[in-house]
Parts: sequence; C-alpha cells; structure tokens
Amino acid sequence: MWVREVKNSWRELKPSDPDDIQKAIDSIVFKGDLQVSFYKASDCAAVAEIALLWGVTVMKFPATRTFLLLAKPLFRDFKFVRVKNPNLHPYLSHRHYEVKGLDEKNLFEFVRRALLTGSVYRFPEKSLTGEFKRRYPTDSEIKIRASDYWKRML
Amino acid sequence: MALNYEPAGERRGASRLPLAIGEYNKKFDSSPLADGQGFLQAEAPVEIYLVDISGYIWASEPIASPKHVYIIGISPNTIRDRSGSPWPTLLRGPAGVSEAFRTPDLCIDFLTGGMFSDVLMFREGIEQVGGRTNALVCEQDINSATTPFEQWYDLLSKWAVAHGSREVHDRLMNIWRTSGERGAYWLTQHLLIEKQIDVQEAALEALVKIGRPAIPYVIGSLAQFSEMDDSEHAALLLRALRWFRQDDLSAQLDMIPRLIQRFLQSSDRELREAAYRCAEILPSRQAVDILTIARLSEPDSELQEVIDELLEEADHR
Repeated sequence: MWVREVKNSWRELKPSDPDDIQKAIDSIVFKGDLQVSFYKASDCAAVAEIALLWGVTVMKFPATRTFLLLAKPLFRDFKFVRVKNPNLHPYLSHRHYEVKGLDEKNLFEFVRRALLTGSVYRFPEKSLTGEFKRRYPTDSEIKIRASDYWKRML
Repeated sequence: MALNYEPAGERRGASRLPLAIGEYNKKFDSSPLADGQGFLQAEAPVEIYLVDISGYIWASEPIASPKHVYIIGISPNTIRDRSGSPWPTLLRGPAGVSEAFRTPDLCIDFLTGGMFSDVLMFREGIEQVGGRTNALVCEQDINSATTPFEQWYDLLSKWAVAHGSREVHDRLMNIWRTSGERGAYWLTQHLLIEKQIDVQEAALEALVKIGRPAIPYVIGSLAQFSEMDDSEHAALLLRALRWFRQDDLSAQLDMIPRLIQRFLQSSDRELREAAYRCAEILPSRQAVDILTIARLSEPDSELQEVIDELLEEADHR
C-alpha cells in the first residue's frame, strides 16, 4: 500500500468532478511542483506505524490525522521511486517514495484514480496521544523528534 | 565595487553580526546559528536596504549598479518607540545616523552595535539605545519584487514540502518568531488562502511561534468567519489558538468562549473538533459549560468521546 496524509475533506471529493480533482491536487502538491510523496506499507500494522510516526515526529501539533491508502497494484503504471530522507524518522525515511515523471496530465489522472480507488483512514488525536505517551519513554527517536507541543501532552 | 568584510565584531573584540539565514544565502558564512555567529563575505556590487523585520524600508542608499540587494532586518524586539510599538514608522535622526547608511561599512557597523552602542539612535518619538542588535541578513535579487515575508514564506513552504532539516526549521521559526505584528498579520492572511497540507501545518507552527502579536489577528480572522465560510481554515486558526502560550492569551481570553461557540454547530466535524479542543485553553468552569452544551447536540460518536474526555480533563484541572 501507498500511504500519505491528506486533508479530512479528501473523502468528500468526487473523482468525477474536475474541480474536486484540482482541489485534491492543490492539497497535496506544492504550487506546480508536480511532486507527490508517499510511504510504502506492507500491511495494516505498517500503515498504523507510519501514521503514528508521521503524526508524532513530523507534525508538530497533536491533532486527528487523515491518511490516504492506495492499493499498489492499481498504480503500477506510475513510477514510485524510493527517496530516503535523513531528516525523517528512520522508519519513515526507509519507506519514503516519490512519484516521478508526473506532468500536469498524468498528475490529474493519478489524483483522479486516488480519489476513485483510495481509502481513507483516520488516526484520532486521542489514539496518537496515547501511542505517543506509551512509546516516548523507550523510543529514543520519538524522544528526539517530538516537538515541545507533543511533550506538553506527557 | 568589491566589498570584503572582515567579521566586524571580531575586529573589535566584540560580538560578530549574527546571521539568521544560512544555507540559502551562499554569499554568507553558513556556520550554524548555534553560536549565533556568521560574517559577511560579499563580493558583488550591492545596494543596502535597511528595513525592519516586517519589511518596512527605513533607508536605502545605492552603492553601485546593484546585482543584489542585501536586506538587513532588525528585530523589532530591539527597536521600539516610546509607546512600546514594535516598529518605528519613520526614520528620523541626527545627522550622524543618516550618514551611517551612506556606506555598507557604516551600516554593518550599526548592525553590529559597534558604531552606535549606547547612544540615542532616533529622535522625534523614536528612540533607541544602541547596543547589540539582532539582525537578519538575506540576499535578494534586485529584480525580485518579493518582500522578506514572501521570501520567508517561500522558504518555509519548501522546507515543509521537502521535510527539511531541523536546523533550517529552527532558523525559519526563529525568523517568524521575531517578525512581530506585521509578520503575524501577513502570515495570518496567507494561512487563510494556503491549500497545501504540509505548508498549512508549517505556517500554523510559525504563527504559534510568533505568539502574543499574532493572537489579535487570529481572533479577528475567526470572528469574521461565518458558518458558510470555509471550515478548513477556520479549523486551522482554532488549532493555532489552542497552542498559544496561556500567558500570551490571557488578555484576550474573555473573547474566546464566544468564538468557540460560533463553530459548535458547524456541519464540518473537523471544525467542531477543533472548537471543542480549543476549550482546553479556557478556565475549567467555562470549558465545562461550553462542552456540556456541545455534548447534547453532538451527533458523532467519536466526537462525543472527545467531548467526554475534555470534560473529564476540565474537571481535573
């Protein structure tokens, strides 16, 4: 599966509506950058781990997060390339991929298909906070990377 | 004209010019800010603009046909008029001051505190005792019409999308933290139109870092939202409100219950959650009152749980 955070409103967007597709593009792509990142998850446990580490070590504020899940077989015609990022938690860095070769046309098709076939998974703030409190004492990477706003929750 | 600056402070045995912009400023020493030091290594013809951190240009003196502009921002924390306003509105001063901007040398001296330490810098309502000045130096293409805020926002956006380094994050947040009311106003306006999710989150953090000067703009913007407006940006502002320091919020705390109540009946669950969680910043009794009423009308079971949890926390405060 391919996983990334999206806005909560993602699930209300219709793949049949070009305006909605454009809204979806604007929400995940930076000003015509034509670059989209995902994390690769082999199973549901990996999805949960990615969601947790994303919410706690990349995002500075505790909040309910929404994630888009794409089935890999449905996106085989797009080129996902692993791009490790040392600024990320090692677990995330190892699974960080970018979709290469996108132009405006196939980005539109990519997002249309993501809206059509993707599923959305919510990670409530309460669950994130609970996991953060549980993992914080023993996970040095979380300890180093969590923001002060997260540490206020301890 | 070639400029070849020695580290001014070192020359005097005093502090060197602290540079707050690093890796994207190739003409400057990119030594990390941990020790707050850096020094100019400019070789191109320059034009010096002296601006406050909000982008207000105090004075500029063309040095030669410029290829680059060095914008030198002074933290509003160190420049205040008599009323405590965080930026002067006009540069007026003794002859010696305007002379200071005639040459880059003098300008840099001014910034390093070497030239005007412990003297009155401005007259006619704008006073400044010299001394160590927090300065930001960045390079800007002469043809670019962007303000420092636009530059900083662009850098922040790029950092957010690329998940950049902690060092760059800290520098950028430090820049925004000291950008004062003008930075707060500018950033709030941009957050309200920002669509990209990672950039929204970074801008939200920058706004919270600005702290007290940002609060009136966040509250003012929230007060203008109606039920029909876009809930996404209202939720972002409520989230900002939640994370400001309690001390900074105290002056406006009595306005917040009414603001929260505006969003309790929203059809957008994300906005309702942001409103409920924002009640955390209220005194316990007020939070309980608001959340108890909200609990009665909340249709979503997950959000009912959120309210119950918040009520329990409020009871234990």
